[in-house]
Amino acid sequence: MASSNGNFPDVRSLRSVKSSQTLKVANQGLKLGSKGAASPTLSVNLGNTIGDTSLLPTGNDDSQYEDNSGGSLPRILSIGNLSVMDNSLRSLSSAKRYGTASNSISREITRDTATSGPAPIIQNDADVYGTNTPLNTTPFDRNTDVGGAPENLIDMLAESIYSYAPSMINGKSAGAKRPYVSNEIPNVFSVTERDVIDQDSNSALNKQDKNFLIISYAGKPIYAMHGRDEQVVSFSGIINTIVSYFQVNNEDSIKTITSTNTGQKFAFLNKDPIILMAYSTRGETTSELLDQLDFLYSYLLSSVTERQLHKLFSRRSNFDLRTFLEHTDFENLNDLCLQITNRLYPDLLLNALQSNPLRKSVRAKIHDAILNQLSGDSDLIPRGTLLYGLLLSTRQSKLTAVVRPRGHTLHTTDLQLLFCLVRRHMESGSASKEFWIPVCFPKFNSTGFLYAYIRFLSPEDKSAMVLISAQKDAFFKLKLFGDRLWERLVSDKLTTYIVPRGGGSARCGFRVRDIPAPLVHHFVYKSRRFVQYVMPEVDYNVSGNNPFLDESESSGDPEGVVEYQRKLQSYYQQLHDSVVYDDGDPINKSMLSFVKWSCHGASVEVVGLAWVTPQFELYLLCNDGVRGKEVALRSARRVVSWCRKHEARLFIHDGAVF
Amino acid sequence: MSLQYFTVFDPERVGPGSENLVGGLLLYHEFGGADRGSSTLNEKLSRVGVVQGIWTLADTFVPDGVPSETERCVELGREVILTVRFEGHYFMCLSVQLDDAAEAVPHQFYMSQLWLSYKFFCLQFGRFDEVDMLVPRLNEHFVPFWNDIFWNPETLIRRGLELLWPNGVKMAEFDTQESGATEDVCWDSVILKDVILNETSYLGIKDLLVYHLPQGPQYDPQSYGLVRNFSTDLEDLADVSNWVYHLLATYGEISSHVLAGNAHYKEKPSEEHDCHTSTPPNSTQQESVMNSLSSYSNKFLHNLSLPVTFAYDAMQEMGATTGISNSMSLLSTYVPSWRSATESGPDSRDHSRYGFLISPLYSSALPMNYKVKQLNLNFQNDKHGRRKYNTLFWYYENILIVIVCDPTFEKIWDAEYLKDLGYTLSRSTQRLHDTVLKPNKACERKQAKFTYTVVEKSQYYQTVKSSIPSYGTKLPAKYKSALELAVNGDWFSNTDTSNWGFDKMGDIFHTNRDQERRNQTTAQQLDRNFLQLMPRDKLWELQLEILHFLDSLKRSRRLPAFTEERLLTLNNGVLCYIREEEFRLVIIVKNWFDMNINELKSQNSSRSSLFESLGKDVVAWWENLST
Repeated sequence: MASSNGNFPDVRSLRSVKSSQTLKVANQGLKLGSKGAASPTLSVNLGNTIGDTSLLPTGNDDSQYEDNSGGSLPRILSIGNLSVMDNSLRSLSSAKRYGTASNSISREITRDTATSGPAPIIQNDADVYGTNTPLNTTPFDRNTDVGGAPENLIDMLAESIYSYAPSMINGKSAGAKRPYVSNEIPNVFSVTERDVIDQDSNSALNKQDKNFLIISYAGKPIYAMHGRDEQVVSFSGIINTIVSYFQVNNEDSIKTITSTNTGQKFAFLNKDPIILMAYSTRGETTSELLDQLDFLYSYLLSSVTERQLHKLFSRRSNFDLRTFLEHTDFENLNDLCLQITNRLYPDLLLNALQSNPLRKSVRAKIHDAILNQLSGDSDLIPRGTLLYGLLLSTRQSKLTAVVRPRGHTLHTTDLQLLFCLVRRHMESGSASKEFWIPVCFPKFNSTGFLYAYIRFLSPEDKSAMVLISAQKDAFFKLKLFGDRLWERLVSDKLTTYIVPRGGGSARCGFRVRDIPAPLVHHFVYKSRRFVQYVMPEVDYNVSGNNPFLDESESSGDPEGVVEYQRKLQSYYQQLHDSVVYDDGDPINKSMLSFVKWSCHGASVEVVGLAWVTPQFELYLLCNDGVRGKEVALRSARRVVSWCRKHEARLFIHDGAVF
Repeated sequence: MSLQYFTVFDPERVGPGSENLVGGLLLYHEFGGADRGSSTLNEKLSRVGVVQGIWTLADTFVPDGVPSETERCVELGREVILTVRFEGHYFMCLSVQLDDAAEAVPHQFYMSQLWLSYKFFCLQFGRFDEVDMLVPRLNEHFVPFWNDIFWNPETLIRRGLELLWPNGVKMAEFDTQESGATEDVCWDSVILKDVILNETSYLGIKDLLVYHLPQGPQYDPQSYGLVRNFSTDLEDLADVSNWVYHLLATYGEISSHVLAGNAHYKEKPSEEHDCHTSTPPNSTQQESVMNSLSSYSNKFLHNLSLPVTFAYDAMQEMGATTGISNSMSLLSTYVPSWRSATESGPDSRDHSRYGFLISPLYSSALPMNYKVKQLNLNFQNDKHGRRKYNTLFWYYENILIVIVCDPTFEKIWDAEYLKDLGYTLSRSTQRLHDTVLKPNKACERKQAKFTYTVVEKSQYYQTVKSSIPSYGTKLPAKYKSALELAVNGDWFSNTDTSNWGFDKMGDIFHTNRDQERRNQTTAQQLDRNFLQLMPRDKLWELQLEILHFLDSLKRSRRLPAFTEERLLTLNNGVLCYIREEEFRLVIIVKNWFDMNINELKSQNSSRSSLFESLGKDVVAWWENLST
């Protein structure tokens, strides 16, 4: 237990506090957020049916035809008049081959349209469409339109996501579903079958398409993502020999080994006294692999500072670092490796953070509240006690608010590590506790620790407050400050923006169909100025269920969610690679890259787009079946326009600066 | 980038015990000679050892059932080590030092060249396992090969992107509608009828490989390459073709000496040999052109170690370790037996230049390499399998014909037969020249607004069709045919009016310089596409960008059944389309600044695919190519 007088004898004791003797403080603030709070402004959860997505913006002719949704009655009727029979077979075969949920879509539509219960949403949509009633519940203005007018209404309608025969709409016939374009994204990449880290079985290492190894300069293994110790030891010797050879004889460091035909790539990061190696056949650039290794190395430093590391190895070069690291460190490394390899994690790819969309005024109020509290409690926490303060949601690693001293910012890598750390504690079932954790932010200062007070605000939403100090005995001060800050946020009715009402089921982001960009499946938009990115919530189609369930709702199929995320990550990796050199530098200051994957036999056509300018980067995936380049570009323009228009909401500009 | 060392080793030859390690080291050559210092045996062995370690490490990660890897690239901070494995257990390794020069050559070019060096060795001597006295042969082949590149690194990039496919054959393409030839007078039917199927040479001449190799202002990337060959089962067509292209890229010309393997660089060629810096000629510059030609020729003689004097070449040895002799002393006794074709050609009014570059017509005192070039080839339908074939080389203006003869075909030693053969070939190639390649006709062609490269897999090799100009194709002011060194040589007269001179082999020849000048003028207008107008450095940048696009596409993880297309628009005007299918790769480059409004409008059709958005001209070209 950390003593109240704050005397931590040494780092080892700090580490023990971190891992096992967590501070158990009653979490009194958790329930306050849901009482008397205003409706969450950012929630765009309009239901799970197709119908609700057809709410069209008013006063925008283009959007009426090109909206990404597909359920308004007039539209359906219009499409019903089109002959799209030929395409139905194609899409059905595609659905079969790739296990898409198109049948479920069909059922859902039938159910919605056939229901005799309360006013069907489709009918509501028709009303909305007919009366041009503005959508008040949508947080974002949906009238954004910068693209040109569609040249052919029928064409555009035919390109809608779902085109159904009239019989389907009336629900009187079980006619065939005839989507011309599917919102499913087929997998065009070879993928790993399993989503586990295999450190126990004797399975050969050559079955893995990606692996990370960390060894010491003496050749002692420290960590391996896959492979038992006995397997890793033999490789450690060879790796150590190769790295040392070039170090000694050429005074140079080996960077990569690339095999042309098998697609193998070994990347090495030489951080004396540690050697890190990544192995991959997934086609990443050298820069990507080195960034991933640097991320793992940064984690090691966050746990053992650089100074400590050198000290340990200077005493004994064959020191076994595994005896120094704790079990949680290896768990965290496993978690990081999985995050890097098998999840949708654009943070590393883009070297940016995701922020939680909030209205500018709301975010300003939150920042004001923090600053006011800080100035009000100046006697409690004198200047210099609090270095950084963060409100964040770890569900998708989103930053909500930040308080920082003027002229100082935390490096993206440090924040990414912090997110992972908080998420790990959250997932380990410690969500009702508070933590006081010594953590080294390697990009801020790799030789010393800072201390993080972590308070979980909502286990469902996985949101947390993190207060960082350089003083190791500042726990009670920061805890008191955190309590008071939370109370202020409650009294100012701001907590619902930080912890959305309804916990995890509530949305604190936006969906792709909230943006008037047609036929877009998913996108990632990065603002270069703010080094932040946004992307819509992941809509995973659970096989046989509603295709519009969100991640939390589809928790019954975690494997499917993971596979879907991996798929998206693969697409984004390929799109990103198309605009950068192997060393990570952009090929051109401004560049537009379309990538299309198609398979004639399987009737698959996926168009992706990477658009890089000095201001932003956009990576966008269209729905399966979109073949027109112009459709993708027009949607991309609208996404960019939408993101720029809502820049103040989507990104944190300066945060609260004191 | 500069070469550091090149080595060939075979781990299977390493005996037990550390003292036998050296047995596996077949060749180790360090570039730069004494200037850089030499490594000790231990250092050499350690370098080889660490490469072996790298292969061992990487091989253990190769999944079961996947064919073993054949090439690996090790990138260090300031060095790249390229390694290839062939014939199961032999390794070649090339170390290249990186520099920050803007024109640094990407290592992919070196890797291709590494494979080519092996393939050329196989052409000359056969596969490693089949060669007697392997070590001297390795020295004889690889050391001068890489030294040429060391002294003249531009060799690597002169061929441009086509070098990236070492198994590919650059094909020449012509506008067929301009040929104007009917089937009965078609140039190739003459060869078929009078050479291949002729009762004298039937089964004796196995194949004829016809190349169009324009250089200088007449350079046209589209029509450069293999025009056609006549057999369908020559497995080594790509290797022979690449060997010819390589010689041309390395030496700038193809001469008897180059083909015979007696031309090599001994020092870095001077700027005056740089074929890209001169300005176009005109009549007022004639004198300086003549001077520069003379100087150029002298330098070239020196650089290529041509044996004009006995004293120069007789003692030239590559060193005791290499075992190479480039002695050319016998040349001093050479008396040419082959007359200039201009005197006996079918149409002396044109004064076209043609004749044999390698043939038994040469003096009996010359080495055998000048009479026949023996190449190891394999015709799939030949029951004898891979064996040495006698090849002769014949040229007509910019056309080179490689005549592949069965080793038992004795007629080639008959001078009369060869003269008849030359006459038949001249009839055919003149027809080809006049109907398909006529420069004036080409001038009338509309300049293409896009360039392309299409690589297709065929049974034994890949075919490369390309109109993307290679880097450094703007040859010097003084236009010279690539194939005329053997007869062009030093001018004894500097007068403008003289049309007589002595060729390199001492023969007196006649040429019509006025005709040549006219060719120069018209040839300047032969820029067939917009890239040929591009400055050299910009063209190089573009090639690097395309290389990176290809590199990125190569890393794609898509499943084999899928086709991947990329359309990249850069703010510098480059519009690049790349599509990779299972058996075909297509690259199209346009300048989107040049695309007119109509084209851009057509792009905006929501229905147009990535390919269709390139414009109607591209679509029309593709449809034409597909049919």
